[in-house]
Amino acid sequence: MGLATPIFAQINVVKETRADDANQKNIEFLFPEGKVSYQGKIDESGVIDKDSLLYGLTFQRPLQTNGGWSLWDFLKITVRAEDEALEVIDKCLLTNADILEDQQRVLVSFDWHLEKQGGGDLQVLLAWYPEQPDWVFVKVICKGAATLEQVNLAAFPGNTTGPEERERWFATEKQPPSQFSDETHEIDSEESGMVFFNRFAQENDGCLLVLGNFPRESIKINGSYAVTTSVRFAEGQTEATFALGGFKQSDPKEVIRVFQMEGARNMLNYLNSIDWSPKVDRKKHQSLINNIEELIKGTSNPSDVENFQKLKVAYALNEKNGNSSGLLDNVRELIGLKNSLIEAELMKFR
Amino acid sequence: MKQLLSLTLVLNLMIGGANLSVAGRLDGESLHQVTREFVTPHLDWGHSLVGGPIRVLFIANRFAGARAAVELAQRLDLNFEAVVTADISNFVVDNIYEASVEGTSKYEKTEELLEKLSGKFDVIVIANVNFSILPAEAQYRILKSVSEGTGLILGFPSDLPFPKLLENPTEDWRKIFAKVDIRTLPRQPQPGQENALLKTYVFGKGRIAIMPMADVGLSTNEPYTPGKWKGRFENSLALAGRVVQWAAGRKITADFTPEIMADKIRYALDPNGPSAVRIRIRDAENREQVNQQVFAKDQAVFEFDTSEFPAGQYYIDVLQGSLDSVSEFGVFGFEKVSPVGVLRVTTDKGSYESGEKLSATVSLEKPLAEDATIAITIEDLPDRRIWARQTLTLPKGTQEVKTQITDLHVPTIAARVVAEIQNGKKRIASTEALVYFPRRKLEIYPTMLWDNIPGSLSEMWAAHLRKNVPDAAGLTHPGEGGEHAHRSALFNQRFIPYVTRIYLMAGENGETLSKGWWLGMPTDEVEALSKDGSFHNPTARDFWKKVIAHRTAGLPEVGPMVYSLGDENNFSYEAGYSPSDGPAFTQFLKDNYPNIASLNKAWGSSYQNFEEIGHPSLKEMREKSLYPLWYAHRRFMERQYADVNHFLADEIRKHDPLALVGSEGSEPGNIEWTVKGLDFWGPYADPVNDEVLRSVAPEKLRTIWWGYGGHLAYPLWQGLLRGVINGNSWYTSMIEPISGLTSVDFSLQETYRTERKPHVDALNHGLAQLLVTTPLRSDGIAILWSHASYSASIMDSRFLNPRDSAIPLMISLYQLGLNFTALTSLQVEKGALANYRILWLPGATALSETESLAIEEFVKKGGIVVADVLSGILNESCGPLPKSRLGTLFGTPDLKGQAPLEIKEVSVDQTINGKKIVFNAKKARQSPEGSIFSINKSGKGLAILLNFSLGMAWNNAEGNPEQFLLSLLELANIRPAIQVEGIEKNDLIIRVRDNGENQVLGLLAAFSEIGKVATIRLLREAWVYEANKGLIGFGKSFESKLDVPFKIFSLFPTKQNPPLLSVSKKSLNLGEAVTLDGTGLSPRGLYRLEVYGPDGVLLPDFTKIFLGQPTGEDGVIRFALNDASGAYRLVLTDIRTGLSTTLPITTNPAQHAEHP
Repeated sequence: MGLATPIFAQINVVKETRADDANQKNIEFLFPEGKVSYQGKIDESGVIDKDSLLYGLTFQRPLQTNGGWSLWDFLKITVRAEDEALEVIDKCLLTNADILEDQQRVLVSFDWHLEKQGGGDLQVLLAWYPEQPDWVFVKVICKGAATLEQVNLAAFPGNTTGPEERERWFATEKQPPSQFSDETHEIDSEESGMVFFNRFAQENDGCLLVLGNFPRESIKINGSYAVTTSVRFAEGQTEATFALGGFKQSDPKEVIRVFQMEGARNMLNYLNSIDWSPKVDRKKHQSLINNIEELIKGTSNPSDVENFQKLKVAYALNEKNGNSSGLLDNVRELIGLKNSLIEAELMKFR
Repeated sequence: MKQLLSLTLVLNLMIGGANLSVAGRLDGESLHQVTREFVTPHLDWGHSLVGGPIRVLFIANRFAGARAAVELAQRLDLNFEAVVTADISNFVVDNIYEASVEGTSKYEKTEELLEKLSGKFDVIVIANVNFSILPAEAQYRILKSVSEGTGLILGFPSDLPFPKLLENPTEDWRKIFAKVDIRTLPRQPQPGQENALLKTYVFGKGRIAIMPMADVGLSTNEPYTPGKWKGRFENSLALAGRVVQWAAGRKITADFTPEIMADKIRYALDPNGPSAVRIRIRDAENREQVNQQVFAKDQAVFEFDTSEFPAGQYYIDVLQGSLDSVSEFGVFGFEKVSPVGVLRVTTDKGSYESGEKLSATVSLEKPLAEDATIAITIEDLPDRRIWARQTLTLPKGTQEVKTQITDLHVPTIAARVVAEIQNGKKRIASTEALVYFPRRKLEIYPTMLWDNIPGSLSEMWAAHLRKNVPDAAGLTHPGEGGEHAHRSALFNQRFIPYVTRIYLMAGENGETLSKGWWLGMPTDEVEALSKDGSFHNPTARDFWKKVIAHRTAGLPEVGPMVYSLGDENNFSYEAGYSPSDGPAFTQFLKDNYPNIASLNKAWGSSYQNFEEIGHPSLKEMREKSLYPLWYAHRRFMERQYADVNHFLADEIRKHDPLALVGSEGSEPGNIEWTVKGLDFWGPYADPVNDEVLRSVAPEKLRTIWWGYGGHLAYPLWQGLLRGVINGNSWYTSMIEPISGLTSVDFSLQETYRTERKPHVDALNHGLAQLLVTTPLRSDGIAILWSHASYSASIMDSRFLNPRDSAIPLMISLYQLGLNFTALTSLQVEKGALANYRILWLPGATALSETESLAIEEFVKKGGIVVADVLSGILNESCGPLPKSRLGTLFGTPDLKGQAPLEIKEVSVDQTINGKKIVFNAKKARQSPEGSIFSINKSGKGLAILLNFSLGMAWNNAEGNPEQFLLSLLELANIRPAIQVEGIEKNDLIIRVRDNGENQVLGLLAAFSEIGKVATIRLLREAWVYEANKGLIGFGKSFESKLDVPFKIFSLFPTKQNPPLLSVSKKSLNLGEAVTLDGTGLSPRGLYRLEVYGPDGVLLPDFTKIFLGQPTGEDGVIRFALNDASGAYRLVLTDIRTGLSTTLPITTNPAQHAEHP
């Protein structure tokens, strides 16, 4: 009878826009386990006001601390365009940010248009899955003339500051734990998993990082203040993926043991299995519309019919214009309509 | 228990194991797939139905509904699919455990249901799922489908919130019951109440059946009883089958009923009806008496004489159809009444110890009308092996018989005393009584599971557990009157009652609150404890007594393996301020100090009397730096916690004098105090406490829960190899994500089957027992565990936490293969140092005078003591001393320990006794007093003060800190007995055991080392065997490929031979026993005896593992009277070497076996 398989699982993700114009952006996405925030402002001289800049990820943050992934600059990206290196986030104001998916997973995008660099684009996608609540997945994509040169990921395992005895430590998927020295550590570029943790204070909170399968020239880590992982890319690389995780109130020894045994491999599998293309699943949407077509035959409420017609038109328009945000809004409303029609049908059995 | 690893991160990392899906989550088959893999005993009702299989979609709950669907499908021609909900009232459950498993999210589960609903089914069965929890779209589609002709059956809960569907009731239920005698069903509803069990409706083109009492799938649950449950469960499914047929639109008629007469069953065949009818008559336990197919073309009437049937309940199954298919079936019942009326057997007791005399009395309601005999047998449960049989002659007129059975050995916990009166070959009447034979002897390496055999589908659960985790005890609440324990006993599952819970928490003002398992206790008494739950409150103690009496009721007779005082027991140091605590605290001080002067001396105080001390709040004590008082309060709470443990254990022993009592998953308090007086302690793993427990409780049962963490069998391997556990505790036997043993269809959960079971089995088959029974070789290393010093480190950051040094030291010693003992202060005071050559003092801030003198004496006699910082600057009361008690010993007489510790570089380069000691670390916590490393000779020994803690030093060491450790141990002539090469040392554990005859070498490598080849170098040549496997070779070194990371080898000075085995007789009658002659066995050998039956198959229930020459029941192989006769094979294996000896024996049928 046509009420076929597609169903929808809505995740509570909110976009809060406090400023969004050509000179200033202040946008925050809140999802069930954290938030990602961007703030940036062009000053009078036409460059980014450094004091205004923030690209923070509130995630795996121990209670009453500033720990976890950096609340200020969890991600920095250097691209190469027209033979010049450009620290995009430091130098360019965000162009656009949007929710691309809110069903089955959260997928949000941050886009920077690199107008002065030959018209390329940089896109950062962040995905969060309800079944993997302790991880945020990140994909960095260069489009057009730009290629990736370096990505820095910053975290504060446990907290930013700590008592004198606190030591910053790391372990990789293959290497046993080592203490950070004041120097930058270069680790095998084939490594894909890292555990950042502390000893002698804040011992039970830490951060985890898994690098996806992409060619890289080097991986360097530094733990002098923030724990920063710098991944330098092979020439011509345009995409990279990362999984950002952490642990709270856990024994790091146990975490490392599990991570090295297979946790890193498992998470790499997961990361690699992610389909990053926004699932504006038109087939599913069409099926949803078909379901409603069937259900609406039984309705006696003319406003439902009218509403449905309006939504179909709006959907078609947004589809034509490539407005994914608008499409998601339409789909939410269509789901709401379908649910109300089902309720009405069920009432007939009562 | 669920908090065992409440680490969401670890869980998310762990998800996977062998069953990791591409999406990075645990394979969810065990929670979703309902297969027919696990087959249970069942009768055939219609494996081939006229009209073909019925297509059924079951929407069933996880815990019993899903398995119940399989039970029905085993009996009936169903082509079924199933969607399994989290439970009866939750479609899915949203928590981290569930989230780790594929298919458990609301989205996934909804998608699964909607996808399955898009298929074509004849019937949809909602089995023990509240219809309202289904997604609205699914509800709509089900109802629409029903209106279009699909059948719908709702078991309990049968609320259907759509009244319109129930507007057209039908009388079809009468037709269904026309062939199901309601008296044959569980819970025995009365005739005329059929409509309470089943209501029928039509809605549109569909049929709807409501079965409000069908609470296990479409069957009705009733408590398991060995004699009655089986038949009634079967009948219940026959009813369910008919309902399914009806709902599917199959033809259901009321066209026949058998005619049941006193001594005859008569059934008229309809020449125009079904061409064939199968008549099956069975007793209450489904033992078939008749199974005959008759054909309408051949005969008009089927008659069967039941006059020879003994008294009892019988069921007649009628299966109509053709030669090879069934169109309809039904079940009827009849009871054969005994000519002697009600027959009863009673026993003098309900429970017997092994070998104890059993007296039985058989009473006949009516006197015997003629001469007869009576056979009294003892049958074990659940297998009904017969361990005793007596036949007595009963003259005419007998109305009571008394008899005794002596020297009775029943190997199971529960058995039936069956009395059967016979006249010649005719069985006149029979009856039975249940008796228990507690299994008192704890095996070398017991296994316990969280949860026991549940109350529904118990027989199926039991079969699954027996097959997959044989002989594991089940831990759970005892139930009213010990109901749960009794149920376990019926399946020979030992029971561990969760008797109570010790939870001494602090109220708002520090008052002691007792929060425990008060189930069934009067509310007002529970409420009273909220004001003063202190153990020092006599009312609270009286209440505890009542709790124990209530919660142990019915338990002693089944003989629990151990009694658990609770899981995750705990107490708060913030408590202790209840009204009754105040005087008790003062008394506690008086008990610990002979007079106020001695207290003042120890505390550095000037109280006039004990009462003046009062009991200030913890906050005040901290603010005023009243450290000795603060520590006294801690000890007061530790004492209270220990006292509650001991008091409750004693209370339990009042009810069961043979009880073993302990607790698991619990906080230790002062472990030495707490475990004293207990028989069992099963904490969460802790590197220091585990070793202290091994030291203070070597003979007690020690386990650590696992299931949520670790891979393969790492948690078990680690604990066993270190010697800190001697049993296995697995969480859980239930159907749960990640750690549940059981799949929804009662097959073994896949990850456990593939990843854990092979290793757990290998441990059970002897490796674990070998580690448990072979003592760790003494390497002469002692590590002081000073509980007072640990408390001091919490009190003031100037005092080093002993764990900071103890843990890295212990880890290094594991890696080096050097054994050590964690000695407590009390053990040192009592002279334990005499057995050691070197003593480490990690963070030993607080030492008693006796302890200090013992240490000084140890050094004078040649021992070496190594301290980190600030030893002995406090006394045992945590009272300050003017200077360190051990200052003179260490050559630093002015050491005061007042300055805060600093973090500085460490550089050691010295020569002692001609041996160079070098160690450098970039930083370590150290005392500003004294030099970084000093040595003082005292008597024949040495006192070495490192003056830095090992934790940070180890982490920041330049080079390998183990070399520094080895160089210090060299001073005491201590060297590792073996070297392991070729594998990563990180996380490596090497332990050497020695029983005086051979050594047992165990190693556990990191997961990453699996598949590598380890080279093991020995100090001297030896014959090397891989335990339980066989000879590796002779030499000073050998290689071993780590196919598994856990390896156990036995080293002998001479080549070993298979064990010598002889038995008292090689031919015997069933019912007799064979005694093993163990004189040829080594007293230090560990042996496994296995018995193979005449069919060549291993009989697991006969297996015994014993140390040395077998004694008691270990040395006896008993054959039941109804065991198979023929050629048996006994195989005795020396677990140390894997060498074995086979001996044949023959059993002959028990012709005239009578028990004395």
